[in-house]
Amino acid sequence: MSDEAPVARAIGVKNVKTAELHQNPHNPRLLFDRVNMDPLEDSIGRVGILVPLTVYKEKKTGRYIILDGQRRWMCAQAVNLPTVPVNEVEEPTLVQNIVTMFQIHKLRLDWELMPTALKLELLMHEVNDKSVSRLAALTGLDQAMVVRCKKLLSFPKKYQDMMLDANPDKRIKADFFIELYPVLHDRQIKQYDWFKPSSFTEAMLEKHKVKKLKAVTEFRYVKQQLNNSVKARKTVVMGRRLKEFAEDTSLTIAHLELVTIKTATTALKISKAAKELYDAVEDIDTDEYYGETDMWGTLEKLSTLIRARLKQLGRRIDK
Amino acid sequence: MRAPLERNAPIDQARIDAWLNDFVGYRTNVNQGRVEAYLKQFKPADRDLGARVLDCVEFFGPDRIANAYRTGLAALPGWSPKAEERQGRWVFAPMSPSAGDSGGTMLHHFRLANGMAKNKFNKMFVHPSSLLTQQLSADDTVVLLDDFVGTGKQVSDAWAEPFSELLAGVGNVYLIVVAARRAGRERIQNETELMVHFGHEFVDCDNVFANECVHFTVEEKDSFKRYCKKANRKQPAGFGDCGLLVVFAHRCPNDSVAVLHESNKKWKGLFPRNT
Repeated sequence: MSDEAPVARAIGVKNVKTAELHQNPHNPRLLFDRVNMDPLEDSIGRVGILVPLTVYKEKKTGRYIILDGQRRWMCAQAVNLPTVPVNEVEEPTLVQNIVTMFQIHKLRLDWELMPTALKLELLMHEVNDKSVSRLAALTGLDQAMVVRCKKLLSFPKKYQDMMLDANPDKRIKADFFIELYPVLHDRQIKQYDWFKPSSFTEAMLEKHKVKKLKAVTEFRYVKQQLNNSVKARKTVVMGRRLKEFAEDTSLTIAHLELVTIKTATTALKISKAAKELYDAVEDIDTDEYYGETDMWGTLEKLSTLIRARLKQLGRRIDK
Repeated sequence: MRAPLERNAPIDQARIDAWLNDFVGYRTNVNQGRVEAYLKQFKPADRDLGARVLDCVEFFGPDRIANAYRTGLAALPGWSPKAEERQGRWVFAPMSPSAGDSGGTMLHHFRLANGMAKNKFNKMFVHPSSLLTQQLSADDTVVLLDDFVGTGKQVSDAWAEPFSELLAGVGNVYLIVVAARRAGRERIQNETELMVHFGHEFVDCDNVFANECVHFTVEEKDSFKRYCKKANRKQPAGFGDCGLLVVFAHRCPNDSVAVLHESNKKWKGLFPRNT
């Protein structure tokens, strides 16, 4: 960690013209909800600003930038307050500014995630710490958000750039990469000799571009199919299908649906559940459960259904 | 806007050769066969109009692009090719860095144009996603690169989010483009902290459909608009109704009129964007 404290040094309290203040560029301004600000605006209109805003003078422009008090400032503008009390502090370093903004504005859900992730990257570098819990504590972000940011930062810079593209039509949403992440890090997919994260990512981006992925959540299905192929010991056929899926832009995720895998997975699931039920029923003391009519009724129905299915199979059931 | 030849000037070999010479280097080879096929899409009575529009096309080949980037950088205060004479740190990044987009191509052109292709300059050229980790200060400069500013909306929106966040506190932030519409440049300068430098500026009379454009009559403009609608019903005059006749060697911007770049069942532009 650098020697600098993660907060700016105080200079003093004074009054500054409201019009001379500027919002902090690292402030998640989209979160300010006008409706929720009405009571504050009413209060400031009646008694003015009681708690000074925290500001710093930007060396580059000489402008006052708000570190803390954006809501109060907006309300002061709304009620035409000519001046506001400010507590001026030294211009913070970039890291100090980012930490302060993170701490003050903990919720950043409405924001594009990538800028937040890049700020986190800078902090991780500065404090030399990648621990999710400690980063969450430092920034005030919840741990799930830190994890999402770290997933984005795991992608090469060229993909991070795609999430920042000036052209909104070309900009790729962070969710694309977040949903793709578990597929790229799947243990099975890494076993395929054809698999390379970069070329697979490129292939998925192309699919996304030509709209052969209906939604980025379809990556969850890809991951599920990979999981199922392992359970059903069908990894070879899954690998082939997945390679075809990646190489042929026209193929949709339906190509990954292997009936045999689906069947085998369901069969495994039913077998497991049946064994558990068998053990549970075997352990039942009928006297103790004598009055559990619902349970007995359900078991009777199940017994009838199982007999019917076995009969359909041609299995002998009268033993 | 370049002036076209006089009305009914022959579409002879010399004129075709002049076009081919002008348009050399476009990403899809512009040859005689394609020029003739393009003009045949106009009715015989309108072919002269089609030809005169081609006369007006402002084509930016590699040399013009390089020149714009060279003069653009040289004009920036504090810049010097010599590290010891530069004021502060300098960092260059593409504005639109997606694969295949103009930003990356422009970065390459820029480096070549300014003799910065050697490895020793690599550290100065960064990904936009690396701008924050550079920890640039008020003494430093970031130069963003792109080819064209049309309406200015895209740059203005991109500044609002995310570039203003990534570049907060940086002393100077420039955008160097090969060409810009004056209205777009002014919008950027009004709505952002970017300072725009350009090699060529397009003004109102460069809009082929504008009253200020004196090279075509109202009837000719109406007739030409019909062909543009055939090429693209939604944006006949190009994105933002810019009505420009501008083509870059690496790609025709979508701010140009549709007949130049649209390629579909009804129309085959001479400068397709996606092939």
